[in-house]
Amino acid sequence: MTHFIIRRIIQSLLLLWAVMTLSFILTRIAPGGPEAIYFENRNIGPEEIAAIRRARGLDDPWFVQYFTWLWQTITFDFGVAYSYARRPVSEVIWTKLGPTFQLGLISYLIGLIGIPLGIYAARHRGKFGDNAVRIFTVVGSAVPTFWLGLVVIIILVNTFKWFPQGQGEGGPLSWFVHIIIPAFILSSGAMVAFTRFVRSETIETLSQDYVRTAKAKGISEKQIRNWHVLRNSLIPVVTLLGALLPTVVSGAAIIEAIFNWPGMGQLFITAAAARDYSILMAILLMGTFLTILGTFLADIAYGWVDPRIRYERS
Amino acid sequence: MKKRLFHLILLAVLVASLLAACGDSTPTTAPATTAAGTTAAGATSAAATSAASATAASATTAAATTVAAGSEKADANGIYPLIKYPVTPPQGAQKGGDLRQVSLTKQLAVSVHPYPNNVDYTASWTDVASYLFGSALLDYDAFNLYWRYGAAEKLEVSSDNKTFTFTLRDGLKFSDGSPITAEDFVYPVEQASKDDKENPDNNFVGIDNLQNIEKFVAKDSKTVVCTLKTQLPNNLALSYCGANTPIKKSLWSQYPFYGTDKNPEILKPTVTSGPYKLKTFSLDEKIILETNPNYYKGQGFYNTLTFLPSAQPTNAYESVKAGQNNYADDISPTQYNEAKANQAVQFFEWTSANGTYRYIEFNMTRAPFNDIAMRKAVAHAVDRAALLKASDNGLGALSNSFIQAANKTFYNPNVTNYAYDLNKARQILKDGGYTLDGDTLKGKDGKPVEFTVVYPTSSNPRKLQATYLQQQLKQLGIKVNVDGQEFNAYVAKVNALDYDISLGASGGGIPADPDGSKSYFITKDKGGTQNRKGYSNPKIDELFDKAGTEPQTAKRAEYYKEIQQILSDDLPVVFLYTLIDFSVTTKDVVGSKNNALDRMYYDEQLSLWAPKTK
Repeated sequence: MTHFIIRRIIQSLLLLWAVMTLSFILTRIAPGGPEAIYFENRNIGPEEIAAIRRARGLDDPWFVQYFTWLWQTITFDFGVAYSYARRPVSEVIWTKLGPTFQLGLISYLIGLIGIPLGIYAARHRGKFGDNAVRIFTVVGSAVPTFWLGLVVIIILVNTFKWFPQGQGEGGPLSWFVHIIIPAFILSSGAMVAFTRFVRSETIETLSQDYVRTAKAKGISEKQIRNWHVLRNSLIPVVTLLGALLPTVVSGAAIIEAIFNWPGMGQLFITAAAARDYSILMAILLMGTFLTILGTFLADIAYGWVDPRIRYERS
Repeated sequence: MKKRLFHLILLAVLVASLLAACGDSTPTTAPATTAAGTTAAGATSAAATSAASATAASATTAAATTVAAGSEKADANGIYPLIKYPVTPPQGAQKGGDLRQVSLTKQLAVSVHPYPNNVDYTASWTDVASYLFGSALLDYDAFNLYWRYGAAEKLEVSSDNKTFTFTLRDGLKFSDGSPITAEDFVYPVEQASKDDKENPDNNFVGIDNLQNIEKFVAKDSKTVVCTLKTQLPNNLALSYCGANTPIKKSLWSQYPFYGTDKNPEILKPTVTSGPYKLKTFSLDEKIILETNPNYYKGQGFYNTLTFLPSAQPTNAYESVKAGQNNYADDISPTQYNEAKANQAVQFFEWTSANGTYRYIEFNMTRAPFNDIAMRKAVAHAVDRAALLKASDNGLGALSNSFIQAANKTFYNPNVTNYAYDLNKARQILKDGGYTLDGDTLKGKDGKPVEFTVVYPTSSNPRKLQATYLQQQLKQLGIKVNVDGQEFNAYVAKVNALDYDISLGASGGGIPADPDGSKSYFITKDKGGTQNRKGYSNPKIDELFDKAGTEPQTAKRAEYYKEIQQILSDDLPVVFLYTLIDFSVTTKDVVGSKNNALDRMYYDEQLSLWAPKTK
């Protein structure tokens, strides 16, 4: 196991470096640059643009820019955010992390409802309950979240005025009323995924010989469900849990834009539009790191959940 | 069977919902940076006032003014008296409460430096700074479009019109109760005038205006003397010298003037000079201001002003309609009809003296638009009325100039009008040596005429204009390619002159003196920083130069009228139309009204609004 962990750490670091290098290249080769913000400023002509680019290091040779960025990243210096009055990037991200974390965590928890839903559907396979859940998952997969968000806003927010937009400013109740709709819509993808995976795994587990044997031995339904079926059905869920971890902090750009939620997703869009490379790279780094970490933790958990799996030195 | 029927019904409901939800695409507006850039034209200070474009009323389309025209008199310098805030709120209203203003953009002001740099000067900065920073020597009356005394109670002008001596009135205080002295006016102008050539990001956005000032000194604690380098038109001179707001020198001088990491006053000012002071600053979430009890004009009726972003342009109006917010200073054109008909809100609609105008810009450095015949043909091929209807829902007025028709002093109504006439367009092309081969127009070189229209995809109206041009010019046998680019990419193409036609929009903000538009038309290496079309006419350069220094308004008007005629003849751009402005407030906001400019909040008007008595 120790060898496995060490090997995975090394692989993860290499993967992180490769992804970030590719991100660096892609952000730099995108047309245009931070000078777009000065487009209508009559004080800023070509000479001033050139001076600004020099001051920001954007006219240095590409390898100088790359290694400067790499060294700063390794030393946890993420630079300043030019589109945020040159505040430290870490400070800007920190202010956005709170709203995104709240939204991501709540949606993550709501998404877990898919687990009991999947189990319910499997246990009532072929019946009304199962059909209803299956229709829900098909619709949930097909309907784009941005469309769903807009429809919800039109009907529940603007027409019936049942829910407000933006972040709540009052106490816990106000916070809950503001967050529940965007969190629910954001969770729809995860909920559908959990439901489908758990349902199919549960159906397969229920048809296993040991389950039939347990029933023949007279063990109660509840005991069979909790001790034999559930644990085996949740193995793929572990993988999903890890894969969804980055969304808790990396933000959902579309949902945040629709619901006026001032989180990391909106920050990314703003930074991309302004070509604020410092913020872009910091967010990409964070997202990549969390994705790799989530997958790594999922692999570890996999071995814990399923004793048949052992990570041994090959 | 029942199961199948159930599935079919569910499917039908879903399809119906999908069709119902589909409608007009959410319109996009130019990014805030573009709007901010146009607002920056002519700005000299935090109060965001600039040279008046006319001394007389250009407010023919304005709503009721705060003071009836003709009921007050200007002094010998053409400056009108100060108007203090009323002590009691409007009838039916009370003091107190929170006015919530929602913007059209998702990013709020990122800093509140009273003399912002080029990056931080955004539309949202203007929203907030207009109420944090005040006490300028002179104020610009947004209704009548003339200057009033502000912190200064007297002005003496030297005989050569170069030296302006302002005497401060008694009782001026910062928000912490400390007195405002002449040094507090001089200090920020000195600092903001410094030109950091190594890093222009450290420069004040209005530095070019301040660079007209030779000296800006405190003669004593109550006297500020401003000496210009050259004699200038009165309105420009008053703007450069009189529109600067004070900063508490004893506080700010401890820190670098620019640099958020070293100057805490930039992000969280503790001492302000306007009708409100800062209470809360949450990045991109909200900015809350509270009344400043020490403001010399009086106190605003709302206890607090809250500024909020809007993730999408349509959200602003929706939130006012839902009663979540009180005021949206601009709303999406697609919501115009509904907002106008909605009895639950107060809807304001007007044509401002500084409205946004749209235009077609030609790249004159290469074929085919280095040929005046082609430019004129395109001008005649555009049905501007139809274009206005198609791309901006008809919400505007046709325009032939960069100067608004409401600006009667400088506007030239007699420039060449390129009326929509396809036959005339064809004739011009024929006379110009172009030939029609079947359905294809060929140039003098015998090759088919083909060009590209570039526009930013963030602007839905310009996307519609591009499509219109493509269809319209096809009737002349011209193949038009439409190239929508993300905004940064669009800017890169235009800056590199890698386009044939660009669809532009300008104007907005406070009324720029026509001098503020010269950078679009004078030769590039003579200061034409916004001239991205390769246009150069020495006569235009000369006329703008003369008009920018001529003290007599009548003479200036002659120069600008001639400029407009020449531009109409040379046709580096085709002016299309000027957009009307509209805003909404909730019914419980008493006293809200529009002025002659494009934003209701100019001239500290929010201080005079009050919540309805409950």
